[in-house]
Amino acid sequence: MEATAILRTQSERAILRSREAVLRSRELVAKASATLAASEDIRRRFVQGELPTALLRSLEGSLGPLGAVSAAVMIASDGTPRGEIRVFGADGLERLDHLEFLVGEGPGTDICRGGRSALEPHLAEAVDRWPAYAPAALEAGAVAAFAFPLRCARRNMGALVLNMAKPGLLDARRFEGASDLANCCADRILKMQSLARPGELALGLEPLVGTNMRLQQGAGALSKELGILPADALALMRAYAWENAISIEDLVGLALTGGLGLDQF
Amino acid sequence: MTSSEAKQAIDPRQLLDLLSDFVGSLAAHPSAVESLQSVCERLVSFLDVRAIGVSHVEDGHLRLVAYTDARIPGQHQAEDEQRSGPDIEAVARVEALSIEDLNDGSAAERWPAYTRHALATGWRSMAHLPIFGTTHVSGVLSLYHDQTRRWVELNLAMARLIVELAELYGADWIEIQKHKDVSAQLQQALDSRVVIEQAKGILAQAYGISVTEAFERLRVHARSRNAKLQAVAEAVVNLGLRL
Repeated sequence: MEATAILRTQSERAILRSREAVLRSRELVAKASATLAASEDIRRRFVQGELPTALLRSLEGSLGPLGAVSAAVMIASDGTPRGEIRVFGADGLERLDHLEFLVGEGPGTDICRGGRSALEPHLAEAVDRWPAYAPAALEAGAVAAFAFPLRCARRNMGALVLNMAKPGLLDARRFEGASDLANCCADRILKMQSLARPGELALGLEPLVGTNMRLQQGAGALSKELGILPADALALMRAYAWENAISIEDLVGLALTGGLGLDQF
Repeated sequence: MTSSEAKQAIDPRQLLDLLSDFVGSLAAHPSAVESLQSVCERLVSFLDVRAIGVSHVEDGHLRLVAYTDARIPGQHQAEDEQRSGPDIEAVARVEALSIEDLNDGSAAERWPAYTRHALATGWRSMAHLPIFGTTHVSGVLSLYHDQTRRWVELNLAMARLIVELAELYGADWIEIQKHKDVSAQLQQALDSRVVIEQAKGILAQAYGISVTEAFERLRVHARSRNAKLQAVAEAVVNLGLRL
């Protein structure tokens, strides 16, 4: 075959491959369009006041297919978790709720700090990694924990946390399903926030941040009482909660009324 | 006027250079429109044409979004005013139209005003290729030459492919940019809320009031001084402001 004919054949093959790439890209864009159409539905429901439950519904629907007994979405800023919304697929797991906020560590917290993934198939073997979270989660009924990033423009804006009642790795299908769910949650959160006025948090996201914001109120009150920084006050509150096994609500209540008795620190 | 011999085959090395340039232009130009413009400029020399234009279908009209020659907007306007021309027809028929010689009478018969304008402006041959979006034709790529020209299908397919890739990149870029803006806004709103909640706790502790009353004091203070709530809260937390 002549050199020019070979070159032409090679070029044609390159074009065919590129054309296939475009077709694949089109499929991806078509999927994105479908997501956009779904977001319009979200917008309509937001106006009708139904939206705050949308994330919960997504999480609840995922528990069975992903084999999880509890799932949570966390949102973060400045590498710090700022809120969590959680669902349960079984009774007796309530102590998992906001556990990471109480102890200041865990799979979702690692992701919010910038981690790529936090996959612990046996929490009993993760005590070195999370000395407070792992025993508490085990006691609460979670034997394994997996967290996936909620990504936007290569940054983690939060995490999807799955807790399992049995030890073991996620299989490929569930891993992919969890990654898709994380992307879906990130998309929902951004769509909600896009409806907010600049500088304000979207109304639909309030249920996510409510508990953490009350924790911040308590930290503010304790910082005033002890003359320390709010961040240090938060650390003291966590230590107190850990020592006394109390809920965040009770902890904040005591902090606001000066009832923690931490002035000896 | 001399007839222009179009390239019969694409040199793989030249194709590699073009694709490298293409990727480079996408990286160098963050804005989707700038990327498209840059791609068009590179395609002019690759295809050995005089000019290139790209139009998008918007509200039943074609909107010119990138072009490499000052004569193209006028040509585009002539077509839009007459609602007749090869760009419109390529989109409507979802079919590539190439004209070897505008002067051979067939173009003038189909689009008389458009052809008159084109010849007066100095164009002699053209090709118009519909660009495919996700589910439909999203626009048209137009190639212009000032000599008669036999258009090579392979080269036209390559040009269309490159522009479609640029368009897909542009659509993704716009979506990502939108998400980035909202994400930054979310981060700022969360950071702002944290300091406001801490300030509420400090004031509640300082004056023995509820956090609701503390928030009201913050709000009233900010409003009376035309200050942002976050700024007042930061002063309470970091500077010891008491209200």
